Amino acid sequence: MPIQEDLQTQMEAAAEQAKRILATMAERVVGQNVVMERLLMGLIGQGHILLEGLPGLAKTTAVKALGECSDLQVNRVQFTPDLLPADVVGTQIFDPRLSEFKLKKGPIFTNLLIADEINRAPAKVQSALLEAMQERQVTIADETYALPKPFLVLATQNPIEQEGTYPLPEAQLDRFFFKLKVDYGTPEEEMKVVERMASGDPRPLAKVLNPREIEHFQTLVQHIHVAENIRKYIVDIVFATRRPEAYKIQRMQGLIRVGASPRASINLERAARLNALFQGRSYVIPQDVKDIAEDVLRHRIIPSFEAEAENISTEDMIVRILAHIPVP
Amino acid sequence: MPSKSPHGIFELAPSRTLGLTSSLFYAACGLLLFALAVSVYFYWRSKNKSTAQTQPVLTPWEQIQLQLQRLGELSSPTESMTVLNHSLRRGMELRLKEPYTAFTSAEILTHLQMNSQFSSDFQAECAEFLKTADRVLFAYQPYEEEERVRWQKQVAQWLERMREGQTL
Repeated sequence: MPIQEDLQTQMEAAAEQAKRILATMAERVVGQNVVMERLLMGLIGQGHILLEGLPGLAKTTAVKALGECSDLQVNRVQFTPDLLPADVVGTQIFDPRLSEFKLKKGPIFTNLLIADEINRAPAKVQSALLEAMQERQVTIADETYALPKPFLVLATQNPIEQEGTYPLPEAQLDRFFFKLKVDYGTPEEEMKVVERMASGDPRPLAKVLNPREIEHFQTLVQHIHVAENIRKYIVDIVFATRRPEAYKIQRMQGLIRVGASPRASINLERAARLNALFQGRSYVIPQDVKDIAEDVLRHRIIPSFEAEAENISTEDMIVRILAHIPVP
Repeated sequence: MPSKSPHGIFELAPSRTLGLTSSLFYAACGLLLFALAVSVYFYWRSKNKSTAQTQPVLTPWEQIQLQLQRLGELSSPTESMTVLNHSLRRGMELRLKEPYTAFTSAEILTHLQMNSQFSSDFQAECAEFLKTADRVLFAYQPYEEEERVRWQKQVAQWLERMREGQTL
């Protein structure tokens, strides 16, 4: 099937638009270019994102910048051990004047929900988020309410200070499209941050993205061509996380306790399309898959005790798998 | 006192008649079985030898050569490009001892740039080939006959030089 000429032109225009949005976000956040690109991918691809990084690395600032330049509502909830599901989703309050219960919507009724330190909340709050993340709806006192469109959970967690935390269950981790590792910037970038902070309040960001444009991006993503051999490549990668010995991958014996789920294959394909869109291409190539594989797979692989004892991270395992599976 | 006919293993064992006849019989059976096993082994070995003679073990370079020779039989442009693309990657893998079959086009170009064995002309032509391969394999864009003939010749030539250890 030949690629339509006008579709290719539209892809190139979309890639330019994505660059403009990222440049606008960069007015607020210094460095962290990959994180900002993935946040935008998550917004277009309707995929929730888990950000892991030490405090003070502009995780929340990046999410707020995305909300500000895309004219979307952003709510932030600080997750704590005493948080209740009603604090997030909302509840019914009795109005004595009218003698009836009234709905008090929680902060989840927003476009972008920043769930700060998600692993500090107990399991019941985390599971209340599950329905919202998967179904994009919440149930309060037997009534189901749809969440606004687009709806995205951008959760953060701290890799240290694990005392008193509730690690996210695998079922919930699997619902995150990407898990991003936020790291320190370069000394030059940090200099720029200090300069920018010293210059006072940041000026407001221009609105460079609206919900209609987001829908247009989403339509374009659906039109991106994914060849059969690329799909097979994706499935091979995911299968190799489950049975590395079947692919004769060296130094992987007994390192993975549980491999990636079929949801990983679906998300890897979707993320590869988004990557192709950001490159202005109307078809996916193996490089698109490799570029986003770590962010899609790192939270879906459960390492074995041996891997942890040998200090082999899931990223190391993904790199080994990618270096072994032949590209189509 | 009436003699008791021999029965049971302890009473049969000392029987002189049975001992001599049966031992001769068992020895003959054993010899026959041995002869049969030896003949079956020699038959199997000779058959295996003849199979091995008709299907010689190919070296990786010969396998690549064989695949390239069969290119003419492939009618689909995608199949033909897949063979060319994989043969080139396999050839690079054999020459440079790095997993080129698992490298994407961009990764191959980066590795070539870092390797002083390859001239800038080869790098430029290889980049063009990999771009065409990505286009044909993943976008199903038209692959002109002229282009097809050109790359078949070019890749075969590159592989021949790689096999002989010549510079590219």
